[in-house]
Amino acid sequence: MKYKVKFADESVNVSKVHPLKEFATLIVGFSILLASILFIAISFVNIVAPLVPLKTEKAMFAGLKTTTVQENFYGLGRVSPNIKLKALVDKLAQHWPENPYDFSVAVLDSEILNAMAFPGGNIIVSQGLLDEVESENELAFVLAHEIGHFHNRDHLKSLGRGLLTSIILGVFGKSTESLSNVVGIVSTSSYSRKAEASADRFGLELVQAQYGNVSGSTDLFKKLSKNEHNSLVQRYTRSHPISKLRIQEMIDYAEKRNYSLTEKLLPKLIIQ
Amino acid sequence: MAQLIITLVLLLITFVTGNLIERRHYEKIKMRELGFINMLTTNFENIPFDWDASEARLVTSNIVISLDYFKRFVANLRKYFGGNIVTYEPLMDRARREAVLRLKEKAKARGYNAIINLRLDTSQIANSLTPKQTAGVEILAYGTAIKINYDIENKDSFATEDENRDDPVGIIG
Repeated sequence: MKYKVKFADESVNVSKVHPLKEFATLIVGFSILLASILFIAISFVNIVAPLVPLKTEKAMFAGLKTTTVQENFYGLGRVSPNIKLKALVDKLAQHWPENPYDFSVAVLDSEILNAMAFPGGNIIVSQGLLDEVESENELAFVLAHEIGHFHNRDHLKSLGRGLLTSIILGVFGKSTESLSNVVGIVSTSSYSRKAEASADRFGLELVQAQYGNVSGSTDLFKKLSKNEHNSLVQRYTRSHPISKLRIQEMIDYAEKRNYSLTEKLLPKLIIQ
Repeated sequence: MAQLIITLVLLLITFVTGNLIERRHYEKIKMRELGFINMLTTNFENIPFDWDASEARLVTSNIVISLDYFKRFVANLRKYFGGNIVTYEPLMDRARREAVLRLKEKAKARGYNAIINLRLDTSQIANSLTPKQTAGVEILAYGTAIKINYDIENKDSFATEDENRDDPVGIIG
């Protein structure tokens, strides 16, 4: 047998795809895969959550009460119930006939501008916000926005969304954790921003029903937008839309519904 | 956010170093392979009757190559879709060729000039902290090194020219 020396090309066993191209393709593919699964799951939540009766939701969260004076509310400060604020909230909520809640309204002893709606009919407004508002209308809009969260079932939706998202991200495992988290945050925060915008719209409706106009509703956001310097990344990872956009959306909505933004404002309420 | 940045930095660094190491290794492999084209290596279990061979000895060699972060990251994404794991292919290719080269070097160093019954074995080296993960891959190559007595005067027994173009692999002989 003869042995012929041949020099063969040994590189047939390697694909000619550049690893960076492979990397980019896979990142995009995986993001689309994960985002699609999240979209299906969250859409399911958004359809099912409103089907839960309001009374059932109220009963589910009946144990959560923020009206008791607490030493340190989640590390943010003391919480004290306020009758005058509750009176304003009740006035506004009258225009939502199906309201099942007897709202508990309290003031948080904190300088940071904040207003929160907690499950079970609890609304908290920070002292900082009360100091910042200059008219009754401005404050009324904030409270109406919080009532909007209860009307839109936002607590149930975000609970369901959070749970399903955690489970789905858990399925994908630790090895792709960093990418999954990014896709998860970007996907779910968009729903959060939509919920905020929707609560804004409901707030406008309540304020219009109570005062006959929506003047002063955008004032607080105008003040906030002065201090906001939002990067592109923040725009898509924040839970709230950036103030500039919020103001514009509210103005557009008011224009569409023919609500006036230019009427005279009522003087600031004395809350203390 | 911090986790994302660390991941990106790791990916960048390990891509660069991994790619560099791989390229250098390939250059060395190609050079050494050129030096060994005269050494007959087959996986025959028995030598053909017309060979004049003397002396036989078992030779083994192995190589262990580690998976870098970038390769593993890409493979972890690939597993959801299927298809070629493009980052692992050069790794396995390198490892195999290197193992065979080391085998040939060992055989040559001991005075043998051919290898028969070549076999390759692959095993995973597990990560010590997370045993389910692979830290590296080991290729073991083993075969019988033999000394073929080539008849130098009779040119027919050993041809080094690229005579037959329609027989590129050299099967017909």
